[in-house]
Amino acid sequence: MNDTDAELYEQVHLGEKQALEKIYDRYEKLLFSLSYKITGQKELAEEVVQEVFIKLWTKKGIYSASKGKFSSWLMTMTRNTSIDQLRKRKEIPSDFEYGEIPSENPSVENLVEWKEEGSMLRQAISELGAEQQKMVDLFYFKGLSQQHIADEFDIPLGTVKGRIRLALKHLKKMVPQTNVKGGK
Amino acid sequence: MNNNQCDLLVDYFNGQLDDISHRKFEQHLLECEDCRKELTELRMLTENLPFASEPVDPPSDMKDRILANVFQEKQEMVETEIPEQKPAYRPESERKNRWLKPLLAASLFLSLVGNAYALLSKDNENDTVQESKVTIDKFEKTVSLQPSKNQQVNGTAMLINKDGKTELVVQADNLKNVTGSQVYQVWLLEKGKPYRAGTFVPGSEGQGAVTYGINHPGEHQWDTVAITLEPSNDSKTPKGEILLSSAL
Repeated sequence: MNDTDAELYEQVHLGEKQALEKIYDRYEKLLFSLSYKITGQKELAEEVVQEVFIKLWTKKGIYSASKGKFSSWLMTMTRNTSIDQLRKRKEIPSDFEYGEIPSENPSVENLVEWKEEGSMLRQAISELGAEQQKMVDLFYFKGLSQQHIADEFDIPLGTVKGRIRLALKHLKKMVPQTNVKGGK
Repeated sequence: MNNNQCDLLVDYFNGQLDDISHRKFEQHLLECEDCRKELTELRMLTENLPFASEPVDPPSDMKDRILANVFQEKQEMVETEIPEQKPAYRPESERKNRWLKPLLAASLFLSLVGNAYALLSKDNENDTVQESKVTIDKFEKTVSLQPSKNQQVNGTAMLINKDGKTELVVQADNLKNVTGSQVYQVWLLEKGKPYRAGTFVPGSEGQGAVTYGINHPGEHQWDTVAITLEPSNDSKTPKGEILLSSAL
């Protein structure tokens, strides 16, 4: 029931379908929600989740403990895959739509960490200035190139990196540091 | 020089660099402590950002679709069983772990290839079951694999010509279960030199099979096919003894 991610991944490595299914059940909603946030399309988000799990299943050894916590790694892979998919389709949604909840029925987070971190993060993001909100969104959730960001903000290319760091650091400061969890 | 490279950190992080620039930047990372620090910092600062995603319910049938496709994909790489012929998106629970005799397996293999083709041609969502593209596969030969001394295993290997490329289909029975990272490895031999030709682990009944598109560069005259038990899935040459083999 409560296998750790690392234990489950070990079983996936050995070809245990049930272990993959457990990981799937655990992360389906988070990964789908993340990909939907990035791509803005449910069909595309499903494709991304599928691509992530195909990699997880077929590429033995794609994850190892040296890559950090499993959940963080899985989220990063989902983010990168989402951005790749968007780029392939050249449909980068440039409109800034933060905090839009797409489903008619509000849904809830199914993971404790998501629930805790999520509400604090969204709160913190909403308290950032409009410019910094947009910076976080275009850089992290849209994965735009440095040039593209410079154009959006009409700022010199050389200042983009500094502005990104500033916004992210500001955000970090605003999120209460509650849990010091040792990642398992 | 270096300054130019340092300016690429953001594009590296966002996967915006082409392959060559990407590799160049990774080389640069080895030499530039500042960039390493900044990259670590970026990763640290963004680590929890995915949790900012507002929860959205996935479609209720997404799991069945995705897992069916994922496990189908596996059959291309490491195959443990051949599911019944079926439409693409039947849930896993409906599959039966039924073994099929070689000739049936051959026709099934063609349908699997068809399914994979359909997948590749991007008909992912919502489609009703559609006709796969018809390809005409030419049967080249089949051989019975002979067990080595003291081995109770038996099996069959088939070569099928598909669009000018050769696919190898191997199945075997009475295989011992693997332990740890062990896998069964198929090899094609040319004048004694082994080439990897498919990796698999057996199902609970001791039956295993694998399909393998032979894509080793250059012209080859394969003279032998063999199966060994390997300690892991990355043996470059056989480490275990030959369990089954046959001349081709």
